Amino acid sequence: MTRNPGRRRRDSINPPADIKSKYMHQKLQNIKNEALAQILSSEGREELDRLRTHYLGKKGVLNQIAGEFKKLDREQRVDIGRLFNDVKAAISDAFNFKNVGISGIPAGGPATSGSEIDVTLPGFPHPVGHLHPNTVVAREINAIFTGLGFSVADGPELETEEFNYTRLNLPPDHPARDLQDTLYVKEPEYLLRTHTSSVEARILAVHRPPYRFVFPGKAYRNENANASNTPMFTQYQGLAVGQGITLANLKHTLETFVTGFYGSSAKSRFRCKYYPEVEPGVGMDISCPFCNFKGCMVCKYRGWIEILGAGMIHPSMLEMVKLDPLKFTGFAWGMGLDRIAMTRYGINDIRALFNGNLAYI
Amino acid sequence: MIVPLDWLAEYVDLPETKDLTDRLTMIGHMLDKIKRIGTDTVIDLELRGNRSDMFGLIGVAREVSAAFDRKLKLPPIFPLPGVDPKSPHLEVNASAGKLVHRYTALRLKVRVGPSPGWLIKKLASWEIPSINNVVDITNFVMIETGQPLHSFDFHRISGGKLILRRGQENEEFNTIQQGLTVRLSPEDLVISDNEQAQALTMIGGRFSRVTENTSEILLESAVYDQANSRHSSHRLKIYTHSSVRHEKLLDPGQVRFALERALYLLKDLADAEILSRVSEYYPHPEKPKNLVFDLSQISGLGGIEIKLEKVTDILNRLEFKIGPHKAGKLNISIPTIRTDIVGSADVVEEVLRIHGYDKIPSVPLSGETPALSTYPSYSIQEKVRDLFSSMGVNEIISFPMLHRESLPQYSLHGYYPRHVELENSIDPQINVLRPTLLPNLVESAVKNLHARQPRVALFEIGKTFFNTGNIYRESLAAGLVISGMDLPPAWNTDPKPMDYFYIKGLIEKLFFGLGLTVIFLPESGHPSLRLAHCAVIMHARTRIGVLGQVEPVLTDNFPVYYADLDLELILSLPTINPNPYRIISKFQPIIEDINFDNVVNYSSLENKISSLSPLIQKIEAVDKHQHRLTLRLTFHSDQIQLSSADIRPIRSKLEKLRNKSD
Repeated sequence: MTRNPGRRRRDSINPPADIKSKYMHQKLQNIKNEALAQILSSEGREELDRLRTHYLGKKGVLNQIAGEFKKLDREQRVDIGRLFNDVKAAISDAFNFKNVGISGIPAGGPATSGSEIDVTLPGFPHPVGHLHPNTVVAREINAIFTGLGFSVADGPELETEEFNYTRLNLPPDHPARDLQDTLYVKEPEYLLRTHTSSVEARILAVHRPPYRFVFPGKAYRNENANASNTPMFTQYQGLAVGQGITLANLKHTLETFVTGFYGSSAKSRFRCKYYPEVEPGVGMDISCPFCNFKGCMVCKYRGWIEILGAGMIHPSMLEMVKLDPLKFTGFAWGMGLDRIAMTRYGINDIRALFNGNLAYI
Repeated sequence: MIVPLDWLAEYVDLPETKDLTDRLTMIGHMLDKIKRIGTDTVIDLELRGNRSDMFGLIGVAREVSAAFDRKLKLPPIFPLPGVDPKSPHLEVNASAGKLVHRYTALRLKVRVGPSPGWLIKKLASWEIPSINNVVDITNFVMIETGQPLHSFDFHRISGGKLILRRGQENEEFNTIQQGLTVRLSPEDLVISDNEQAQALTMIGGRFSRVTENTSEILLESAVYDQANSRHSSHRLKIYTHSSVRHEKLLDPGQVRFALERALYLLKDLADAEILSRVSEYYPHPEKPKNLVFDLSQISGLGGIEIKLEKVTDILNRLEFKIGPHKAGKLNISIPTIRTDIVGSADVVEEVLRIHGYDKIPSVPLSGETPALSTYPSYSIQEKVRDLFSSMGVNEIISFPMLHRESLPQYSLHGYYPRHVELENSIDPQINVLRPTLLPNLVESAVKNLHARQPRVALFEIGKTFFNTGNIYRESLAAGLVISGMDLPPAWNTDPKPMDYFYIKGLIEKLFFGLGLTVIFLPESGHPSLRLAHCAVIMHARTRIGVLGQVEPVLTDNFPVYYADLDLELILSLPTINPNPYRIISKFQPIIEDINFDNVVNYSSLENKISSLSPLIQKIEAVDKHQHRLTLRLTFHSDQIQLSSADIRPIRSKLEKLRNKSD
């Protein structure tokens, strides 16, 4: 199984040292190729043992070629020595590999023959990547809602006034449109979306019912960063539009989320709340997980913690996309994701979510 | 809304405090705080942006009366005199006409003096200091009714007439609050006399304020355009009890009630005498709105059946007037004070909230299940997250706003399209939207290196922003940064520094996972990546990313490697389904190593070799020593056991190739 037609040609003369080195190089490669092929195609323990003696034995092929190194000068010897070790390692590996296949026991005898190992030493530190807390939480929530037939949507962060405000029942003079809360790219038309409800407006504009979507995403406000507020924050919203959808369906959907996410013992309640983009509007509270209705600082002694806003999509928003509110209805809800992630991971400064500090992730 | 319960109890009989606050919370007025002042309990309710009526205690009492079905007790009033068609004390300029919905004023003789104790105490619960009986009464009535009022010293009004006009540019105005002087603009509505501004919508003026020397007043109450009032208040930075009410949609009908209530108290406490008929501007008097309400809307939106008698009872309690019921429809008249009620859905909410949101059943969504259709732009992010994290890379999320100086620092001009700037960021220095994820990722990496993290590997997925020909555009990008050692130091590791080929390996694996074939070509011209240590990532003829070593000046001389991927473009490319599985051939492969010298472009050599024969199944660069590259070739066939003879022709072709490269 030798190869290299050049070998014969160059071998026939007495070569100078560099040619000799090149020759040695090729020879080693050839030995390796030949050995690997033979070892891999060998059958049975006997043949394998014979090959082992042939290549790795005291008078084996490799030891013979090692004897020729003294003909080389020092620099070349280092070069060839390196290759020699590689070749030897490759051949040994091949034997071990084949041996396991034959007997289930690696070469060198059974594993029990070595000295005992300390099984309590740390294992190999495989690098594992962590997802951002917000991603982890969004995925958990996505899983609950996809189980209820929701798909995941997203939309632009650089928005127009139309989709960020007008189509969400926030006419031009609505207080929520005040300049001081909105980061404008170019007044008055382009802005960084102030909520992910803009995705709702886009879904309404594009899809035909029935549909169900959730959409985690970033939103922006004109604020300096401090421990509890940042100019960027994360929301998680969703909607379902179709025929015969009611607040009762909203209640079931959100209760499924609450027990799925906070545990089966979590209680929730619906109360009336105002949001311009829904009517009737809903505020949803869960039983305070810190005091379980005993009253504490976190729930301001109410026993309940507000987690989200929801309601039936405002009829004027349906009319804007040419849906008859008497025929089609839908619900929508929205909540903050950062706070949930912070609670889950024991982070008390929202900036830590966004400053790329590895200690947190 | 601060609600002292003793005070509220004057308008409606109250239940137990806990029952009261629980019910108010459930019907839309969440209890924020509760505190005791002396023997009185004061509750603080969260305000609703659309319920201007709840900015007065009578409005709160009206809700309590509806929720608990108790009688509302309105306080005594004194009727206003008739309207003088000439309205001698009032003039509204045409330019300001749209900014005023109703302005009503009359002239009174008063005896100014101290307020009685009960009035001082009531104002104190709202932390409003007592001034004198006249001013205190206007404040008191505002809290009672939610409708702001103001009194001017009549003798200080030049010409005896209030003129409503727009402010002049830079016009100076001294507010009633000592030392607070503001400069007006034509955007501001001004209540003036024929010499100077005397009041704004949200605050009175110092010059015409009522003092102990006042003997006659002009008492007014008004409803302005809410948006203009709000803008004025924000522009002038004046926030008062008046301004928070004027920026809501007030019921002009309440103006008369507020004045009549004030008149009663002024007669009682300041010996008021009426000196004029009413001067009024009220061009479009409010009429009660009527609505045909389809009862099926309640179950259609609420998912609950409520009996007709119950519906009419609730609406009656809320002071809706109900006409005859016909074919499932009700003719209802909306009380003018409820400016929030516009359509049927609003009426449904009224019925449901008084009936009880807790009575709404919990019913699974039914009917046609929509097809699952998660957006590809979302799925690809999740795929990239899975792939990177499985390779030991950590995810970060950062703000997209960059410091102005980032652009020159990273020399981002030129390579990326023009950036987008924010018009009104709080910190004018941080006003650039990132055109690439590079600056934040590199800064995070360097920060972590300084914090002595041995292995830094971070990625971020987010939007980047461009301005191309004044069209604002955003794109979805992924960035990857690595630096430090490939493994943490441990008894069983041999950590090596991560380099260009480490990050390239991550990118290769990523694209395998995404099902895209990519090639890497030398790239020049990236402003932040080192020349000759930088490659562009190509799929066919499309540039989908770039990677390389970050210029050491940007990394405090740490060796940092960065890759930038355009997910938006990647999303548009046809992908193959990556299949890492293959049934292993039952035949043995032939594996051979071959050396090549002076290889300058590995990928073209690899292409040449792999095109030699389909039997070459794998080419691995197993060793590189100086300029010598050792390639390990695996010859393999699924059909036959290869022998040396099968490989011989390939060997000679390889040898020709090798000699050429020598």
